Amino acid sequence: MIENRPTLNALTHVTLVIGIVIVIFPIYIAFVASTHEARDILMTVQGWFGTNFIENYSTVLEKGKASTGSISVALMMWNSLVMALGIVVGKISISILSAYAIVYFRFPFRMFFFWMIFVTLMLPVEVRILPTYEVVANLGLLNTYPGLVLPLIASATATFLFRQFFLTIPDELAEAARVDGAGPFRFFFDILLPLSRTNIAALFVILFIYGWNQYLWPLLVTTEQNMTTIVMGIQAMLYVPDDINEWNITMATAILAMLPPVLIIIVMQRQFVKGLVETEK
Amino acid sequence: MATVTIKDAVKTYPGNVQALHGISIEIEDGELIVMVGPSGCGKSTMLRMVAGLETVTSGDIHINGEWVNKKEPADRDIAMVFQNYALYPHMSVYQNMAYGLKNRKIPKDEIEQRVQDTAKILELEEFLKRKPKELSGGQRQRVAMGRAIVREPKVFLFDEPLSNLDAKLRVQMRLEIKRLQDRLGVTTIYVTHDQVEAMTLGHRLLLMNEGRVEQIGTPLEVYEKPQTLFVAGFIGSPSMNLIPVRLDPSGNQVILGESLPLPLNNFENIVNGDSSVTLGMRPEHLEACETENALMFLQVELLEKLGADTVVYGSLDQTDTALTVRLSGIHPVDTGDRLPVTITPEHLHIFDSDTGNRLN
Repeated sequence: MIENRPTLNALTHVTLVIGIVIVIFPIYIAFVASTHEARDILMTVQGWFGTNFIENYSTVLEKGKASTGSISVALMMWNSLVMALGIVVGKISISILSAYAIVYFRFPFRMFFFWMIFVTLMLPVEVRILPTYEVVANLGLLNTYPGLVLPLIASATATFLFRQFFLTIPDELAEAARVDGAGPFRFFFDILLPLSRTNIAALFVILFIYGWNQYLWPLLVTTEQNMTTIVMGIQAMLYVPDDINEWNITMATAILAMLPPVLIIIVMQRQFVKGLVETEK
Repeated sequence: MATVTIKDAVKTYPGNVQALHGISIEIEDGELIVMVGPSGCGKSTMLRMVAGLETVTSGDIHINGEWVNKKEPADRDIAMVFQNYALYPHMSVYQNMAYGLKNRKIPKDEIEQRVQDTAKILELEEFLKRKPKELSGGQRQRVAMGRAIVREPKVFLFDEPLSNLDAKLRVQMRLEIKRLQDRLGVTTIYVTHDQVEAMTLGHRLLLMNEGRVEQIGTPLEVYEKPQTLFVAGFIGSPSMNLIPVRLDPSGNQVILGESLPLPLNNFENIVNGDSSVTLGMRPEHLEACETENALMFLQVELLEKLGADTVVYGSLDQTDTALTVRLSGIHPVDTGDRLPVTITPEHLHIFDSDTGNRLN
């Protein structure tokens, strides 16, 4: 808007600031809590930073919390990272390939397959969790990374997104590539993939967060403590039966759990926005 | 360098929609054929069948004597320029031009050489590193042509390559294409709906309508002796006056409307059963004349003064038959005038009103 109305300007800013404060405040409290000693924050909320920042975070990263079996948070983060990246890479490669097949190849029951994929949009992981567990258990994949990743990598949403994107690519481009002697593989790798770069980036961010935040599935499929993911870890830390809860440790873990998704967004922000809004090809 | 032979090419789309009803033409080596016709006449389909982008329902296509119906586009040794250029948006101009060569496993230094040479021909040297979106429409068009030329194919296929350009650029690129084709001498099939492009570029034209060939001939043949009513109305601007008339049995006049005789007399040989025919007169062949020499009189209704020409729209005296006359230069005529006009008999075209075929 080109309007110049000071009151309106002020109002907009106030609204935005309120919004930011609402979002930031819990994170601030968590971060402040993670820099204190356990007893300082047991019964009260601290408003300013304590002095135990380095100590708390090194404890967390190296030793974890005694009540959860002393699994280091570094290992939990590693587990989460492997799972999240596995899900991202798996989902993107499978969905881009199936979208490619559905858009560019004529084969019998093409639309049937498309609708089948589409229909699975209606089935979240939770609905099919028991049969999936059975399958994974029978395959001997409990407590393994493939067991964590595989059942989550089929993605109707991503397939649909890529399909819609491919449909916006003019047919002539595919035809020009055919005339230029590019077969299906070359066309895919030389033309389609580079053109999908921004879409892939956007999906990467969304799916990474999706993968990182997985809770129910890792909880079911892992029983060994060294396969704990960080989201499971935080939850486990909240439950302390007969002891003083070390909130500083829990909060530090929570802050650490937040870091990778934030980093991913910061790094890929530009591509991410482009991928979501770009229409000009 | 190659000939292209199309024999009885038929294209039927699923649902029994027949797009082409048997197209045949023999294209000579180095010839530039323009396929022209209104939208939906099947000209692009025909071109795409030659390119291998559409399957051939029946009929045969030979390139340089080789039957190519079942061949992949890449194996036909053709290059195509698309209407929207279809440049690869993420590749630089150089990569765009080199891509086809790269896929053919041509050595790198030869690719470099050929791209540079082509860029020089098309004056694209300074743009080689740019992406297509940093180029203007005309430059993109040249890159698209460069991508075709660099391959040194047997046949060039152009699918309405100029229709995305503005009028001035279109004229310029038209000349450039003409010059280039003359210079390279590559057999070319050029599809357009623009009759000026067709007339200026083609060695021969193939006029199509509703999936059928209406006429094949040099631009002047098509202009001077249109074989069908469709061709007569399509070629020429403003388009030919087509007036339903009756042929007088004596053979030396035609009767317009109820009873307006036009004493025209080179129709001796015309035999037509019911004697109802269509008379065609090009606006530019009708001339203003003295009243006593007039064949007919035009009631002037509208004028377009273009400077080089004056286009007069009106109706024939005492009838409501519309008639357009194009007078050269600036002509002192005004709305409401009664303009005496005449035409020399060789410029008359007579068509059978039912079949649309030329009779004289």
